[in-house]
Amino acid sequence: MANVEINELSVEHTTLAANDLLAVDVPIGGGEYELRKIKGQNLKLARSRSFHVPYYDNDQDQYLYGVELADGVSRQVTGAFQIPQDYQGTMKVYAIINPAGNTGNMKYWFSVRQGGVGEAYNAHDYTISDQVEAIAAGLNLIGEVSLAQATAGDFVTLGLVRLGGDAADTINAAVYLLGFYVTYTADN
Amino acid sequence: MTDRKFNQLVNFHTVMTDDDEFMLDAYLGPGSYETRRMTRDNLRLSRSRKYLVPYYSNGLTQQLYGLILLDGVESVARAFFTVPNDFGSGMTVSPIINPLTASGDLIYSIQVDYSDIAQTAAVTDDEVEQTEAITASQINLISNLALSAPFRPSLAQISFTRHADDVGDTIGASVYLLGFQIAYTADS
Repeated sequence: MANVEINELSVEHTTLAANDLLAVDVPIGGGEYELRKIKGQNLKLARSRSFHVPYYDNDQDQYLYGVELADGVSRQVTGAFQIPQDYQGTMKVYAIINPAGNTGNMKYWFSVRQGGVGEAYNAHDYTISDQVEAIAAGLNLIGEVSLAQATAGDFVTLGLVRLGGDAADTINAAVYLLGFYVTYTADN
Repeated sequence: MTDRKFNQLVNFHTVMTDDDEFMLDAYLGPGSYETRRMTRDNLRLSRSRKYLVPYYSNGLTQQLYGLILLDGVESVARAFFTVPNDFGSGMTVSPIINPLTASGDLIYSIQVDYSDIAQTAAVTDDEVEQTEAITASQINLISNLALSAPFRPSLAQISFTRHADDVGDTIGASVYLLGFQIAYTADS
């Protein structure tokens, strides 16, 4: 069985189309291999991926450490992303809160809405309201929302409202939103 | 030869480093295979990828469902993105419009300027101005502007204008921009 140098392979097979076939030798123990035939785009590697979604400033004051969600009032910051084409499963969305050393309970409302082209932007609505969550002095990921009906290519709009004037919000200081954090399992 | 689920293969080899080589049997036809040696970086899978580029508000007002493009006036939104390192071919840019319950004809123009990051290459200017029918109560992906000569790494600037001061814009209401979809064929 001869080895073909990689530059020759690059010339002959620089791309694998959806229906191209390739075969892989899988070790099955005892020095034995078994040849399996697969399509290039059916390689499912189930890697964990995450990415950051920037906020839209919504005319709030911004600092090096985030966009301000003031105390004593309600403030909303929004964002949006597209579900990646390599989405395979288990997508979760969080808001990233920097309390600048302050602690206490934060009361908030987290809108997470999903829709594809030809659908309403809120065809799938995962919004959670009137949440109260303890905030530690460092960075906090809050409002874990699972997108149970996530579909590759759909658009997701995000909106975090801090209800800073609510009695249940006990931080008594501004906190800062760094954006949103998305985790999922990718197929490659 | 039997076809098996790829996760069985993943269990054997969960990680490949840059210098790892692996054997791959190219399928040449029924009963015909040729074993080739390649590295991870030379595996070209030509997957389709899409992602959302956020807008810069450019002084316009935002809502949970997008950046407001008012009726009766000209509104300009902007965005920046880099051509991804896995870019292979065929890149398009599409504004994502959420009209809520409004419908009618949208008059708009979109311009994408791009060059290499260091700006040593000439700037390519792709642009189009046209009318597009907008459907109510759904996300509208409009004008797949195909970039004529994208390459990596490029820094691209998007400028999108709604010409609602034009009599041909018959929507008669605000529409909302969610951002821009970038679609391309990746090499991985």
